Amino acid sequence: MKKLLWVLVVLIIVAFGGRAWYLHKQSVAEKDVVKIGALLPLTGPTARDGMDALAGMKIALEEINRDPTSNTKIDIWVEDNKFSVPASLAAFHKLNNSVPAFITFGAVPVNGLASLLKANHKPTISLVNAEDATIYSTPEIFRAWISISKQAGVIAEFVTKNFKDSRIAFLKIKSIDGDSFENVLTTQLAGIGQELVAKETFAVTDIETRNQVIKLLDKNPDVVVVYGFAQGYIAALNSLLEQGYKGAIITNQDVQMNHKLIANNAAGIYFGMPNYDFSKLIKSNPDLADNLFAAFGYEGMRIMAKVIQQNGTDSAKIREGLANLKDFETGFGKISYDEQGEIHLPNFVIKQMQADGSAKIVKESE
Amino acid sequence: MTLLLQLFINGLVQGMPLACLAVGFGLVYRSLKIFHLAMGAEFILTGYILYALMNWFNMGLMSAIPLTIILAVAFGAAIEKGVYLPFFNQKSSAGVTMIASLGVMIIVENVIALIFGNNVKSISTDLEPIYLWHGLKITRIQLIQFLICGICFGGLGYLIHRSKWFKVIWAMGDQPKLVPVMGLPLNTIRLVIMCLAAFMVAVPSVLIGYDVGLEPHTGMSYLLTASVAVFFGGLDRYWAWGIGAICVAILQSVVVWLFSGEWISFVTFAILVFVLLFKPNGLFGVRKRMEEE
Repeated sequence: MKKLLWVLVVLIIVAFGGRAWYLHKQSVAEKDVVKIGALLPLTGPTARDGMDALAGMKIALEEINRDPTSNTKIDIWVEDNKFSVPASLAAFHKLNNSVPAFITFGAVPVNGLASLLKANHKPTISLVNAEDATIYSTPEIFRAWISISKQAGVIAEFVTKNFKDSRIAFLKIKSIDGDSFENVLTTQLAGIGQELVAKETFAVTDIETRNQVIKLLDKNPDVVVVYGFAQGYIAALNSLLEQGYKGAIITNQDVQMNHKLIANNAAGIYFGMPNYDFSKLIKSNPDLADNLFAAFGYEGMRIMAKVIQQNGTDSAKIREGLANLKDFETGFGKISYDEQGEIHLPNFVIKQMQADGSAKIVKESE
Repeated sequence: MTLLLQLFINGLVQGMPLACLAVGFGLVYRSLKIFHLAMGAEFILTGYILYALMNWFNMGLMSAIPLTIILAVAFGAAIEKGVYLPFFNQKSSAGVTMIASLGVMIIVENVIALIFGNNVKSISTDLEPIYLWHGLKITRIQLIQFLICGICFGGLGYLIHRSKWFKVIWAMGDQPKLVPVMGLPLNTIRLVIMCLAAFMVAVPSVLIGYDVGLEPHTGMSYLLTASVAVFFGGLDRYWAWGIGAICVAILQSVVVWLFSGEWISFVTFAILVFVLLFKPNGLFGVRKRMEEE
């Protein structure tokens, strides 16, 4: 009995000692790994987009950590921001003391986090657009997505150059983005002495947009500029063609998913988007072809990792590194940031849909 | 003038699917006293079932539609058996049941978004043929929606007024406690109501999905408009739900003509507030004695 007791005591000591030794080794190992806070929507309406961005980030992490020349290993600490401000705030407080920088997804969450990021000096890459006012007033936030005004500027320039003296109508989504786009478009049109012949609005969840389109087409436009996304956007494009509209459609998104459009009005559809080389992503995961969320996740992760490897884990130095990032090679081309956190994406093109579903570049980036 | 007439016709056509949805909401609300938020889940799920049958199981449209509607009705029955009936047996308050119904809606919406993604899915890949008459346009699918939803709405209305079984369903809304007293199978009647409501939601869901595509987050918008149609017309008259739906749809069209599409939601809910303030029983509602309330 006494022997058995001794054996038990020894076993307990060995077990606890072993566990303590393992934890010590692990903490030593973890000291060499820099963790970045990743606040992504993993549940809720935009969960799929958040997961796509995460897939891109994981591909980038594998590449970065496989590189034998890098002495710093990078990892991410993923928290669900539910695409909401309260969940983002909770996730931020949980990770703030453990990470030197963040990567976030969602305009609403990053707008809500802006003051905290600024107060805690936490450099952050926002994978999806944030409001211009947020970006410019928060030196910690760097944009990975193009700004609406930039996109509107390129599209409006294309319209004014190629469709001068045409009857131009505008169909937009009811949102701040839609208003920003309209401002840029009307300003550029005013510059050549033109104005919109008609303007209509649809909501993001609108399924039925026939009435708005019928009213718009009543003014006989030659060109319809459509800005939007989600259900209402697709419904609006469908309604345009269903009502027999044969003029040009110039829009902000690749409409490849909509076969009706391609089959019936391919030559008249133009869209302006960043041109991305998906070959690296496709090599790791063929499902990520044409997935811009994955592309921004991948490139956002690469940018943050590069800056940390060059500047260390001090948040202020990471911010400086981001602000000074110039000509970083990505699938979009060489990108740079300015002091205000604005991204310069060079490869922004206008494409024209072809009848076979492919898209041909008709205006190269400048 | 042609534009106004065109928008009026569009409103009339859109009113019929909305009338069916109003029946889907109104039957459950009136007879089971449940604010049937899960109807939004039924609406979106039905469209995605059709999409999955056609794209994953390569079924043709005509063979997929009946199976879709059967599965949608089964889902309605599952909501009753799995959610509403247990709460009813526990004598839970209407508020608790409504929250549970909202939970069903959110879960289904998110699961669909996870499986199918947030992108819009198109069922039909061709443009619909369009019929012209004196400068007025109507697409084939609009015409089909109007006719099929009209038949479903009219058919159920006829049955409710003529068939003994359907009269029981309607009477349950007036005197729910009398059903078991009269020896009628309460649980079976509840199940029939949920299946009927699911059917009336499934038919417009399939037709609307075929027309404009599918997106996981549109259920709530249709549910709310259908509920407005019911309260606008009057809760206690079946035909008033249809008239309410057509009036709401026509008003939504006229708003576009008069102002802009961005005012559609505002006008829809302004109508509801206005009617509830000045005609609490709806436009064609029945005034009740206090002891009937």
